[in-house]
Amino acid sequence: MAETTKAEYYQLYPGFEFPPQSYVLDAAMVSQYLKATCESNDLYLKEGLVPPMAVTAYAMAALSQSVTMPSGTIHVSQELDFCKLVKVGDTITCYSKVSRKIERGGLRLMNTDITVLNQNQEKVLTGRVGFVLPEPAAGS
Amino acid sequence: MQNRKVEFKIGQELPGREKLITQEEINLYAQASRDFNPIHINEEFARKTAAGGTIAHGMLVLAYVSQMMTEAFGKSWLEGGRFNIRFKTPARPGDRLKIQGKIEKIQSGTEDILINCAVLCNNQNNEAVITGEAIVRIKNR
Repeated sequence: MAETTKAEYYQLYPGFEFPPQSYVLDAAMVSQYLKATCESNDLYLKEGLVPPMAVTAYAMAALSQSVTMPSGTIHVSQELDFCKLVKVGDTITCYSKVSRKIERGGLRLMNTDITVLNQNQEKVLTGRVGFVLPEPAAGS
Repeated sequence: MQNRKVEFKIGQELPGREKLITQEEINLYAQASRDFNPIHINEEFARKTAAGGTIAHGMLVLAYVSQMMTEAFGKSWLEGGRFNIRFKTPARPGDRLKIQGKIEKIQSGTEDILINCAVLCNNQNNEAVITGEAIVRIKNR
């Protein structure tokens, strides 16, 4: 499988779309997440639902695999909408798009919107990630 | 199946929790979330950054807040929940986090109820790690 080239921060602009990424949420993958977050709710352990923050984590992983952010980048804010139940066995596809990229007061601000669809093309999650980056050093 | 009518009140505290952050848990979360940023898992690398040492993934800490919301509101949170939060201070291995929430507003409609909650995660020094709002829509059945 060909390796996808990561975009660099300087290449991004409002409207830039990252390549979508799909995951099959099999039992092993979800179980690993439940264990890592010490999750014990029966909705997940007995009813086979997937935590919405797991879906978010996979969407963020898709984003981080698509872009190289400068050193010092800070994830400062997060908006999330959990739209639909996700179940073990579902396939999700994660889409990300730059919605804002500005410089203000010595800082660079970037927002990225994420959308996750299930195998039926139904929206299961949307969100907005806020990043702050320091200004690049002079001469860099 | 019995329908359980749950009453919510403004000012009601959500089922808070405490979490001890460990490097082991951070490492497990890195595997599970596929986020291998060295600032979370490589002590030598992280020591040389502004963080001064490894820090927990913000999404791991937010997952604990989501757990509180799930315990309070069940499936309604999973299919009608909304977060609007800010990450204030990183959580570090050894930190003991206190996750809290409180209902601030309830709006009743014909088809559903909208509940606004303030959510907060503090560390043992009472520094805010996460602040913000969680909103849940509960359908009238």
